[in-house]
Amino acid sequence: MDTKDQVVLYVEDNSDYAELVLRGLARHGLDRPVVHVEDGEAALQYLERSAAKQAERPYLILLDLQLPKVDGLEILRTVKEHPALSDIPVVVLTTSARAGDIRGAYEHHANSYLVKPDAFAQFDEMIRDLRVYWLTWNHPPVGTH
Amino acid sequence: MGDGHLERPKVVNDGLPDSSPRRGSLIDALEDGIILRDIDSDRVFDVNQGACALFRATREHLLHGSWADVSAIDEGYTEDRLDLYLEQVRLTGQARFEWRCQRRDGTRFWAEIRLRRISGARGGSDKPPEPTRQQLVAVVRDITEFREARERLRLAEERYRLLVRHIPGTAIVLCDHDLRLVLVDGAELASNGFSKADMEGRTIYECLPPEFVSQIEGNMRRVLSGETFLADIPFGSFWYRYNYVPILDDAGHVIWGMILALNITEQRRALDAMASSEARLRSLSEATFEGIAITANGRVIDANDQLLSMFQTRREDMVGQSVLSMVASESAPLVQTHLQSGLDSPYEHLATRHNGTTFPVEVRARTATIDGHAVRVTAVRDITERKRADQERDRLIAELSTRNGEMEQFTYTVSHDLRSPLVTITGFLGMLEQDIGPNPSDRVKSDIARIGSAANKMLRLLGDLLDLSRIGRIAGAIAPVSVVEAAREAKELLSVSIAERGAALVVDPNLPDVMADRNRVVQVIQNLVENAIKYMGDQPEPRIDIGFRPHATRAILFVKDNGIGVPEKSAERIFGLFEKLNPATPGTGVGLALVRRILEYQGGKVWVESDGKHGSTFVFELPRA
Repeated sequence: MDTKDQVVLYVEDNSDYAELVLRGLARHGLDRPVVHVEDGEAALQYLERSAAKQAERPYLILLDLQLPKVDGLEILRTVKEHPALSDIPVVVLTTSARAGDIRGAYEHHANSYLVKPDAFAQFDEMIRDLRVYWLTWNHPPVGTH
Repeated sequence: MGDGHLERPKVVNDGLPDSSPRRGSLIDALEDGIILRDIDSDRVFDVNQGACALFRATREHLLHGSWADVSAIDEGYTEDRLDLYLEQVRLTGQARFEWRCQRRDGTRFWAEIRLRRISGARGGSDKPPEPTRQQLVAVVRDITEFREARERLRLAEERYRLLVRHIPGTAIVLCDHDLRLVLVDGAELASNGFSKADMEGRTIYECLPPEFVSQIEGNMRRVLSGETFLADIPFGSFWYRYNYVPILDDAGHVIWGMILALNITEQRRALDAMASSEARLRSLSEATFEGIAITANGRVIDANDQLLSMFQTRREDMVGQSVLSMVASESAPLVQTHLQSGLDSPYEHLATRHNGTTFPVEVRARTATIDGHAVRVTAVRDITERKRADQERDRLIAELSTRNGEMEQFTYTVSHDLRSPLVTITGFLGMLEQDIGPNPSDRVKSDIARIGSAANKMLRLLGDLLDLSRIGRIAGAIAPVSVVEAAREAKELLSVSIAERGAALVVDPNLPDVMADRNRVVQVIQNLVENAIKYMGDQPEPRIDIGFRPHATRAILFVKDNGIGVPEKSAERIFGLFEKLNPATPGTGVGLALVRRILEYQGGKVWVESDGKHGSTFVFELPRA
């Protein structure tokens, strides 16, 4: 099932930054709905529901690491160990460029790791590439196993 | 020794028998040979049987023979020699001497001959007496055995004297009841300026200094009273041990007092030295801070005061104790092992005080020999304080690592929580610029630019701070680094700003290699060069040199510029965090602090040399590769 209705789940505690990303994605032709949650707990609740409900299954997860309540890496681990969710691409988008965080993310099978750029020009470029690569060219597996 | 020691054979020669019919048979009954001569005619006119037996000759032989016939002439017993005795007889009426006699059969013997002049008496003869004639009675006695015995005695005495004379440091004295020195001998006499000849035959009062006599007189009377004893008495600069031994006769009466003097000066000196060295040793062992125990067969035989106070006990309570009774039970096997192995290496264990409390000690034992016995000398150090310090250190290390963890958390928070709003600001600013359309007012444009530049500066500051905090935490591998290559890399990284300022950067191709983290070396050079460019001022020909000063063990490198220099008062301040001498210059004020921190972590240091006018030289040191 490949439907343009499948959402992008965006987990980001900084709602201002989330707004910025959403605007950037829209500017670069986002054609899917985005569900934004602000903490790890809400993210897990959404994923629990979507595991049972095919229609709510995310097409892509955009994940910040430093999150209130439940840590980003914990969400990543849960997704990648969940039989119904493990094949959903997860792109980490965070301010941390720490080697430990990067390694931790990949060890938990993140599909991509992006560091929030300082300058707007780079941010704009990154959002464009993100949109084009993950939401146009990339083909994740669809449907249930 | 006089002849008096030997009983001389009795010669019956006094009171010559007068002319009686029994005279001949009487003198014949004597064992001694008796020969009667007429002095004037020098003729033998009578001999007795004893003489015949002595000389193994007949009466006729002897009556008609001469002195020469009965003397060992070839041994020098000639008539000339005899004449001396005859002369003596003529003068004094008698003579006594020993003579080497020869028998009729040629064998020889020693005789004692006594000559006596008598007047006119003659007997046992067929001739009538001639009263006016001078006659000589010779009484001859065989003294061969006597002489042999005497010779043996002489040799024995000689050997004995030789012995006494040669025993080093001894003198022997025999004295009689008059305190007269009968015998004095020994090698030690000469050491004190005495001689046998000066002393023998004299009383102590005659030959010894009065003050010495007063010291020994009583002792000599004691020995003569039969006491045997020892006494140490000084004489001059020497010390003597006197062995007083009474010499008894067969009846048990003291005939002489014997004094055997032994020079013990050296022994006494050695004793004194030993006593003082023992005292020294004791004071030494009391002077040390360590407790010292001397043990034998696992038991304490001595301990110094420190050990006693360490174990809070008294010497009499500790001496004799088993070593293991002073060891906490958990350490007993360890101590036992060391006791048995005799190892010298120091080790730690838990000791038990007299009152049962325990404390940690470090001990080091060594086997030594005292008076021929193997003992263990054990130095004991109370390491309670050290253990406490160790624990304190461990606690501090743990605390430090906790703090480091907190620091890491802080850095993490800084990197995320502070950066997040900043990237939001720059992001929305970008959005704003795009949304505002193509022709905003100049004022709007400049406001946007100010916000952007402030946000960017804060991001850079944050970046530098993170760099600084990482230096201690994130360590790269220490390896040989080519500073020439590091300098070229820094030059490459800064090529844009170098070109913009029109500066010449010259790298000495002979820079020494260093032991360091390569990336940090690049960072140091980059920061120093960046700093040089910033503070170039209006120098028309900016030049930066990266060079070195030769040194045996260290790499002393420098980055020298011809910019505005650093005033001497600021030479130290510029390495502080956020210190900028000129607020107008770009940068965060972290660069030099970063350089210093990096070098300190790499085992190096950095300082600046400048007269404040003609540029500055930043010198930094690192270990040589």
